[in-house]
Amino acid sequence: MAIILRIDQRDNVGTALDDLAPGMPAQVQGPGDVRTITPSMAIAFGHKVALVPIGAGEPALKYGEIIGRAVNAITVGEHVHVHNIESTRA
Amino acid sequence: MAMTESLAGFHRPDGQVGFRNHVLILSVVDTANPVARRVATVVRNTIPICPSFGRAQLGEDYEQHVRTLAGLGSNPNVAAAVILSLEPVAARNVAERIARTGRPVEIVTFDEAGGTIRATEQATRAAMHFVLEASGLTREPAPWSALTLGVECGGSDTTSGVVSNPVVGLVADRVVAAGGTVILSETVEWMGAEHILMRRAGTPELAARIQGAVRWYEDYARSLGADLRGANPAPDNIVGGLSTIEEKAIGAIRKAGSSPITGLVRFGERPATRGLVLMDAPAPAVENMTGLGAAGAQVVIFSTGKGNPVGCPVSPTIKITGNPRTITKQADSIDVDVSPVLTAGMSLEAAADKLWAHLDPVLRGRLVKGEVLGDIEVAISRIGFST
Repeated sequence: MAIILRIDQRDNVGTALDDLAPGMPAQVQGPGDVRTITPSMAIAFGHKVALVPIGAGEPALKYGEIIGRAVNAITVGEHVHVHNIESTRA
Repeated sequence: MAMTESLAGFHRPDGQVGFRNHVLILSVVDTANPVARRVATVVRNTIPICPSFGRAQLGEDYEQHVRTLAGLGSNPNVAAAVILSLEPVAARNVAERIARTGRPVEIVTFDEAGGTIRATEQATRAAMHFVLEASGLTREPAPWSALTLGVECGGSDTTSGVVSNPVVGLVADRVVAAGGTVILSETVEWMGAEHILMRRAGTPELAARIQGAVRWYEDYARSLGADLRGANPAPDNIVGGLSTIEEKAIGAIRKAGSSPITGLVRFGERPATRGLVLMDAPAPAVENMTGLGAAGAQVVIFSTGKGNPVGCPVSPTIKITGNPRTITKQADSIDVDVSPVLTAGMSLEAAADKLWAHLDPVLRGRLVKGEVLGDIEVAISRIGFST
């Protein structure tokens, strides 16, 4: 099974440790209750996937820290990257 | 993973503890570098320190040169140093600072010796005596609080922020918990995560200095027409999965763990506090690790994605990667493989145990690949121009 790494239990995104195929459940490794995620699209190794729904304007959390803000609502299993999150620091 | 009760190191006259027992052939000026290399080739178990520049430098720029060389010569891993110079004033500027630590120092200059062949002879003889004496020293028990760990990253890729850096950070936390010191440097990599470092700073003044250190680089880059903040993440970062500058920076500082920050020092300056300390210094590996060695780090853990061969001149540099391709492609330069986090479901904690299990023997004398190959280099950052 493909693996998604959740680094901190506060994280709402995980990082794909394999290339993820759409519709193929992947195992979440790390802290927290979410144990599997089914990506809704292809997600490349090293890219992020939403572990829970993220509302528009809400923070994306990785390492237990804010790494960006959603520009639109993001659904579980969706690719999270430059097209739907923006920097809060730049 | 259980921590051994104590380490075993060389107790130096100034109370510091070394985990190596080096004799340095330390040139203070580029003119003397060829002789330093010659002597280090002839006398076994010596390390040549050959800096560029060292003459006609002014003010803070010269102070940084002297401070760094004296710091390298005073690193706890160093038993003694032969100081090589064209003339005695430059030699004494460095030698006197090293001698204050109580360790043996001998000056050899071309002016006084009468040329390079005679200087080579004198320095060779001095080095031989130092190596003989050092070889009689033995390791004694030492507390983990005697350890200063430098953390470094280079050749970063997608795996660095999610595997190797967090693993190094877990080990950094353990060192701090044991009473030791960790130094995080590479100032430009803090950009995007300054708020986190500032939040962890002990005082508002320290927080302001941390912010100022990053701003200096942004202003400097802008003065040359470059936009550091706008250029990050870089295109290859984005292809690799990094979305924002803060994600990149938070992943980078992760290698320092989660401890409060107790100080910020200049390039090559020894920390005055224990715990996690920042060193304001350029990011390129040779420069940065020269600074870490001068600041007293007895070991460096170097998190790499794509691989990087070079190590700190005076301290063993443990290379760790989480990238399974790098394990094979750069096998000769990698000491610790934590790619099972990616390929076999190994947890970050278990990977930290693996790194810890490598760190402990290295501190007790086990060599790292870079030490065996002599893959070290020195570069002292400049903050001014030669005149």
